[in-house]
Amino acid sequence: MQKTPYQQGNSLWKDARQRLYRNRAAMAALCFMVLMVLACFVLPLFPCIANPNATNLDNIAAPCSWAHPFGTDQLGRDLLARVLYGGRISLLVGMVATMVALIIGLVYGLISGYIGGKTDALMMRTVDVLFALPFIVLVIVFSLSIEEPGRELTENLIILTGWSRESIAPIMGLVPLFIAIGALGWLTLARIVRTQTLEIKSQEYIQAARSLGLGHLRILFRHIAPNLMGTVVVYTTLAVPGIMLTESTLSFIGLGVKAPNSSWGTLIKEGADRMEVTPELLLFPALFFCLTLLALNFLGDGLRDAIDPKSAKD
Amino acid sequence: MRILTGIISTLSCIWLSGCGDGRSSAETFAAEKILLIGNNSEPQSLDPHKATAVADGKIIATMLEGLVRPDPQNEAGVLPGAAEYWESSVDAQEWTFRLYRNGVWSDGHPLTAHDFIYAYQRILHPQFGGRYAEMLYPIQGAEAYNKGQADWSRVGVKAVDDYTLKLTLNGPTPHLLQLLLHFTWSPVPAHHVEANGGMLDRRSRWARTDNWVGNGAYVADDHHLNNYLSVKPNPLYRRKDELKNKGIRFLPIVNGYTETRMYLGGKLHITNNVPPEMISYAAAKAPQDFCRDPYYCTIFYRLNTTRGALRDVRVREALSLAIDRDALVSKVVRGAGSPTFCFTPPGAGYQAKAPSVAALSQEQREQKARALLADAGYANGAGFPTLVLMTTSRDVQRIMAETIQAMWAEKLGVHVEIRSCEWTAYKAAQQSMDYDISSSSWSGDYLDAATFVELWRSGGGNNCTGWQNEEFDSLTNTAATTGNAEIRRNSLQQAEQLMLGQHPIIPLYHSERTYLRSARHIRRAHPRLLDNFPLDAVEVVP
Repeated sequence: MQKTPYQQGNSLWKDARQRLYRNRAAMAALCFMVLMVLACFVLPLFPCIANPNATNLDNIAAPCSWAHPFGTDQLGRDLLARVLYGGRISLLVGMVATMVALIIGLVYGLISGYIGGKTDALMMRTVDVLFALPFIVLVIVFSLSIEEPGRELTENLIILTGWSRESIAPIMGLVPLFIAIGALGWLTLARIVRTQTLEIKSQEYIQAARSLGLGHLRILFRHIAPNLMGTVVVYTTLAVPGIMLTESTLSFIGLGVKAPNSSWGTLIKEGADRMEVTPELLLFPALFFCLTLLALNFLGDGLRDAIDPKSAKD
Repeated sequence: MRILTGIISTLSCIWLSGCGDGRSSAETFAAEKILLIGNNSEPQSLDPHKATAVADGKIIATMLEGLVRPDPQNEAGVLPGAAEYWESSVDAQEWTFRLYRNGVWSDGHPLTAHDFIYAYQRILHPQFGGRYAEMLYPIQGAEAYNKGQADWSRVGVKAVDDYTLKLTLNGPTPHLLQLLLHFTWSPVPAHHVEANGGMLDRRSRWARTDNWVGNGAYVADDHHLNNYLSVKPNPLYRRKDELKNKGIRFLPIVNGYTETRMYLGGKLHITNNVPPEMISYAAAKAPQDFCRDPYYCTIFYRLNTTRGALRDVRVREALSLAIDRDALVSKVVRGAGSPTFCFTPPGAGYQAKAPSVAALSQEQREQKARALLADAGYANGAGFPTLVLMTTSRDVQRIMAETIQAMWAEKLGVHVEIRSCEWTAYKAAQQSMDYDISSSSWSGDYLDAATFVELWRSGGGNNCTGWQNEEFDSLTNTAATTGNAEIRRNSLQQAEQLMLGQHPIIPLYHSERTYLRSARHIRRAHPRLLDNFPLDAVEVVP
């Protein structure tokens, strides 16, 4: 008996992956982001990168040289090291705050869309109200109000774990910022997730799952949530640059990272003040920041085209 | 394509708005005889009894006139203000001022001696809480009244008649006329304050720009928050014919870099401050306009002596000694000042006695600092709590704070956290002593060492360190009441030495004033040690 020729069908994810591979801009952006993350998180572990907070008053605002590839800043600190360490903080804020926003938004949207009815109306009106409030102002108020508990937490951590202050203070100082941006940045995502949930909820396979007697939680997280992933991944990638911008705005007005630590936002602010005198101080951090934002946007666009090809035709 | 259109439209907008008639706003406003001046910060208050900042004082000085007014030609001299002439007793303890009979407020209400008495009672009233009340302590009984220990009738301010004011002082005060130039001695319109909530209403709206009544050369005109505050000539002012300008705009620009850039872009006639890093740039760009004047001012750190580790005088001294002031001034401040271990700047016939550590080398000082810190139980900074170093958002202060933060970490192993606050929040935190270390500056209110030394009296409104010392108080009392200049100077020197030995503050340097002033548009503006040049004497020319 002769077998009929049989072709393995492609899964939707595989299709998406192939579409992404073919998108040159998105792949270049992906490579760039990998390099940037490696540069910011791995490179400073090597001794060739100077201590970003070591001042040297005898070598202020030095031009580019072998010892200081990007030159030094107004207090003689190595600018390359500061840009890399600043990138750590900016990327960390971007990722962690996005994760916080993602978790809240996902759960909120799922519950709202799945339960429906009055609960849905109430939950969505709450989102509307929060949307109406100015985001930056809320973040400022919120991060200031949780600053004091955050400081106590740091002190307790130091006592409990015996870690050195220098190693955890820069990160712990950012916790209020993570929480504040994350806790207020989930609104759009909650709306998107809710709409999608409403749509998926009425599909046959959900009705089948229900008629088989599966529990609500299982339906929500095993059958609905995975089908949202495409949208969520795309939205998240596009949200990271926005959140990094918020962080740099806050650092710009002095509420983000605390001196002497820096983020790209603070470095750009310090550089912008001195742009006539020492343009390098503005140029390098701004270059890194812009390229990262661009790369993330390209990547997000590419992902959207890959996962949801219909939307690309708009 | 849409991007291209966007770029083109943006560019054309910039081009159109930039064009106008091709003149900068400095030129346009000069043609209209309006002075544009950078003024550091948004005023806290225009009420002379509530204001404490230099920026507020500059505005108030144009809108309220005290008994005397500053002489534009001679910093040590005064000219008749609201008072036509005055006389003092031989020992300079009793002063009588005769007011102009035709003096009026800007609403037409006559200005009498009772307005002055009302103002002095208001700022000194124990329930009003005037921060600057101690400026009036030279008046007999004023301190006791301010502290709620005496009655107003015992205070040495009397109206002999409606136009004669008599001041009785604690002791001989030959420099009283210099004191009177300060805005705390200005009159306030009693009838207007009463109509707006009364004497003790701290939230009174009488001094708002839309409700202003004053007796100065100018009256409030317009206030756009974070944009400008403008004043216009007072039509009822006695010397209105001598006014050269049609108005003044005070622009609250905290960031010195922005301010310098605005000046070079033709948006200002006078700036408040050129940051150290911009000095060589500004001097090269506008060599005619760059000014570098001596200034009666000290930059220092306040230490909150009521909190934790800072209660220990050894810790405070160690923090002070570990700061390399020479490096700070030469590298960070770029030489716009002179390093110091004293508080009062030299000048006005006074030279503070430098503590013995001033003669040591920086290495020796650091050694001593480490020994002191170990003595206090924090060898190499072990177990030392993280202190909060509060600064304003001014860039110079932030860079300085970062430098000192690094010095303390390197030399002592002590870590501090920098908190940079917006100006009003900074002032509020300082006055409620909600800080550990506060980056501060003090510029003299009058040309006499007392304006510096007396700051540290117990419970003084601008002390804000929690430090108090009875011996210090009695020494300054001696200085205030003695008639002998020699004894006075010695008492002040001893008092300052005593205070410096206890380290409630860390003196850093005596600063200079670096700023830009248009050589083309500004006439008759001279440098002043106190930075209080009368703006009504300045002339703007096209």
